[in-house]
Amino acid sequence: MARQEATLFYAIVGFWLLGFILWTGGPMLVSLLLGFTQFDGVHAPTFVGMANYTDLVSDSLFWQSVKVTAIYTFVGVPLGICFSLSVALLLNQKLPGLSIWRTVYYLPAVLQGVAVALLWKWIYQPDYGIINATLWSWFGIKGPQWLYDTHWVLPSLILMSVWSSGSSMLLYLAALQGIPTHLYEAAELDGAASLSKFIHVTIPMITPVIFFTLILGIIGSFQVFTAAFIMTNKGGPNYASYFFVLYIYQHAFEFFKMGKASALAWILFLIISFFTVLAFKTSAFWVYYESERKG
Amino acid sequence: MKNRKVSRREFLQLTTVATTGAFLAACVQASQVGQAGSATGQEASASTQGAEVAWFVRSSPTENPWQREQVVPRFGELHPEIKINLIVTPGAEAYSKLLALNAAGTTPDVWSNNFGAGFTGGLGLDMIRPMSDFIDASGVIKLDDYGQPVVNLFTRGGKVWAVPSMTCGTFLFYNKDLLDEAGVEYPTVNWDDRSWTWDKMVELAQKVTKNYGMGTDAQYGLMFAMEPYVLQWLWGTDPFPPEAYETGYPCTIDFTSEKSIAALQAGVDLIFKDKVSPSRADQDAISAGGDPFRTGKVVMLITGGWGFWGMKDFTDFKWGAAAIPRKETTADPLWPDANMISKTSKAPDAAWQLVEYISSGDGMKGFIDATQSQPAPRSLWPEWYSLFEDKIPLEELKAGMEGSVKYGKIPYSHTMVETNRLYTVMAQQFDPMWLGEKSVAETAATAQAEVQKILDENCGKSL
Repeated sequence: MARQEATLFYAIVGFWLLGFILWTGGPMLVSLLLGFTQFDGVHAPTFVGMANYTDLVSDSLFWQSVKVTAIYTFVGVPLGICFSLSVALLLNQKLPGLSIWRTVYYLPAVLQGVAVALLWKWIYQPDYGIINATLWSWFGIKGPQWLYDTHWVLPSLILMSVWSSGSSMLLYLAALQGIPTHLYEAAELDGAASLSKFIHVTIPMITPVIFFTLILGIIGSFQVFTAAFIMTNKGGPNYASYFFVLYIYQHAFEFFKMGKASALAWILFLIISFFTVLAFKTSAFWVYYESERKG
Repeated sequence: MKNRKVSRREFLQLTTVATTGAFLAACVQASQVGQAGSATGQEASASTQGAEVAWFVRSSPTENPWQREQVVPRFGELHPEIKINLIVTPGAEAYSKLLALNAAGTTPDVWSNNFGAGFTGGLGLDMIRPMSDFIDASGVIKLDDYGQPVVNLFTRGGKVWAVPSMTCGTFLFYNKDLLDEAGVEYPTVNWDDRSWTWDKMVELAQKVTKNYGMGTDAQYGLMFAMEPYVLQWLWGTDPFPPEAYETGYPCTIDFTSEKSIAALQAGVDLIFKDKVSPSRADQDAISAGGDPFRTGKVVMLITGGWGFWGMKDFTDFKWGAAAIPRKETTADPLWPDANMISKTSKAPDAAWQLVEYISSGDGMKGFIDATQSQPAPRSLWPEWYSLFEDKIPLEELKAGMEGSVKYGKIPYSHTMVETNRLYTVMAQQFDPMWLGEKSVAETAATAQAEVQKILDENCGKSL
């Protein structure tokens, strides 16, 4: 029986392992090697040592893409967490038509990619987009140029990312509903006010979900691509929305510098790994698991 | 026989060995196939029997039906021994897919330069083969029929590397109905008329612009749908040095000379001072609802000869195609497309048969009818004129076409290497100027410095 189980295990795992080696591990290894070459996709790769990496130091576009992506991530991710948590708290109240509200707030999470980008491009249209039209007709305020302004384009994209944080909202809602009511009752007996209950009960109890969404948020934000590709003419205006993945894409598929693109992909992998590991390391200080007992 | 249990470590080792073995076996097989293919290719050069030609084209609502419904069946009748495998790819991805196919050892046999880096890219990457041997032996292709500038472009090292299929200049398309409504004269079609100037065009545009910047109610007098270098040409200068059009690798760039600044300023003034052209945001918005010229949002449009495509049956308003106005000089970009054959084609003879057929009178007539594109052979221009005989008087059309070619200059996109990269950097660097965030001088200085960095990487090379 044990032998049969072992055979079955290997048979099932074997397919996955084979797939991993062929389609993930293999290409990753090849990309690592290509990162040390000059390769245009046509001629044989030429070994250039660390040049693809060292050249980046003096490449202003590399630093611009790092800056844009970092701002997007470190502003957008916390903002997204705050927004989705706030909405989850609202939707956790006993309100009439609650399921409709939940659906409404979750709906943007169902829409993805190009369709959302095109929708928001119209919303942000400076002359007759819904935001500026409303600002003008209701308040007499002339709105910004949004996607056509180097200062506003990144906040516009961050705002858009916050709007589509419905899936995080759903996770927070589930976490909020999983908090035992006796904890709140005990807090009330101790005389805790609403804010104290939120800070000392709610937040600690949902930190595993905050941690989870933080990790996914970091990974997703560092890899953002579609919005800039579709909405800002590949990172414009004047590179103000030039994300790191766009930089990789252009080097790989528009400029055909596969070696440099591979090096960049590995740098991105390392950056994401660094922040993911950092989040995991710091989680011991702020993430509370009810099942854990600390001595 | 006693069953032996496989440990996890042994299993992993076996899997790795098996995978590596399979991978190496596949490589060996592929290599052997490649050798066999080459051998067959050599034999096939003597005969096209049983040959298969991969024809790589961009996706296009007019070109693809012509390729599928006319060329493939007609060519099949003439050459039943050759099979055509049409590979259609969206234009924006076409060049990268072509390179990916090449990297995979499956380079298509025939493609055109009407996408991506095109001819110079193919030549620079050593992907195409010369066609002089085929052309010399052909009774169909007459190089004299294409015009010297176009032939020169595709001739390198004394050999012709591509056969032109389409050549068009650049025009100022105008809406006759809206000009009539404003009670103004039509712009001239005479390219030698020195009184037709940039300033007159701006004056005309101002007369027909209505509700500037007012969303769907706006009617813009002019849209200049060209890159800034065209302005520089009109102002009597050029961002690229003359030798770069020969070598393919410019060493310097000029956006900051007095003439360049004046030219760029004139372009920016169309939006912020003259208020006749839509802002960037409005341009995107009015284009989202369809071609802004054809939807009547723009009265005059400066664009390539592709502005004619699809206009044969256009009946929404009366229209015309005038000369580009002059400033210091008269100039316009000339856009030649051509077909090339892969250097690694396994069936070059069959591939040539296809190129020759496309370029023949029969092939080109089908191309003209289906796409309404201007044919490269001058002997076939009358065929193209006849498409629009009920729209534009023949003499006008003829004068427009001949003038645009006479003053036409083939731009950097068709003559230089790494043009995708240059275009991207220039487009991004010029943004602050088009958006009114920075002065022209400031923008031009930054753009020049950034483009120069790219040029420094390849300065000294030559195609």
